Amino acid sequence: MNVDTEDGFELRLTEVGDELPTASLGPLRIEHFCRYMFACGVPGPERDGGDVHYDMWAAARAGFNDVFDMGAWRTALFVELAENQWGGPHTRVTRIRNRYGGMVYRDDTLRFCGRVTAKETAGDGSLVIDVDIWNETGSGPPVTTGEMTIRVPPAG
Amino acid sequence: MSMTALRETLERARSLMGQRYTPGEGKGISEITEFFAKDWSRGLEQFSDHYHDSEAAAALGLRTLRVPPSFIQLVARGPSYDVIGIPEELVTLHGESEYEFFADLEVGDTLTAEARIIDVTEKRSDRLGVMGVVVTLNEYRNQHGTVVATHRWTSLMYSAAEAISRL
Repeated sequence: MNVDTEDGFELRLTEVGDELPTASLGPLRIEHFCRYMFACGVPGPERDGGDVHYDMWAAARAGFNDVFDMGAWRTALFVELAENQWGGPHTRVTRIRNRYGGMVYRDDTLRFCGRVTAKETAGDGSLVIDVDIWNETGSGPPVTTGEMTIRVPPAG
Repeated sequence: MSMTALRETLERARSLMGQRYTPGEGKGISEITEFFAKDWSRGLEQFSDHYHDSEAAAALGLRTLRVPPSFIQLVARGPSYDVIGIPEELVTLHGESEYEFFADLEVGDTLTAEARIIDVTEKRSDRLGVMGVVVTLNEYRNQHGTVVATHRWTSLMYSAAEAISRL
């Protein structure tokens, strides 16, 4: 995943309303979907219809024009983006909710976006940051919309 | 015929509401081994050292390799399809998900999942026709009995034939 890194960006210094560095992945290949599917286990028709993600005929039988990505994959990638690129290795996502309103097909480029909506300090000195999140693939409406809560440990 | 299959499937789902069961029984992974942790990290495009090198993880104060919290997806493959029984003429999609993570996962942990169906409704999609909406709440515990995460999983079900007729 490529992140539009901002020099000196620190999640703990963000304020409500700030947009977070955008990340992108793509153009997506079947290999992206398969790497995730294989990590999930052996994909196949017997495994909850997973074949629609790598077999275009299975996707066609399900009513789609091509293979497409997995919603849970988008959410898992958002968690890793928040914990590694937006935050640091001790940053943790405590809650994430996503609605998968649009399809992401092979050859699309998936963009991961976020905007800070709330920020407060917890009793232990951690920052608790709420973020609106969304995925884009182009000029159309977001294909994913949601929210997450990120906990950033005290500095030092 | 497919609409009948959808309605019958949703009726089975309604009859199961409130019952607790093991989701994806026999399919999931329960023990987090280094192999599975690294494989999952690769599946999420995570190649940083603390996901793959124990010494790098230790240097960050972690007791084991960093295990992505979404690893719980491997414990319960699918929310409730085995229990409900999904006929071949129906297609399932993941419509929405909400996770809460309460504790770090570590290599060596053994996870178990328990699920229950908490809502069953219908809605209409311009693109796919009449859809069944089944919401399942999965709860994950580690070997100490601690709840490490929950996953509220919204599944969409529709007739493949009806969707194709709308292409």
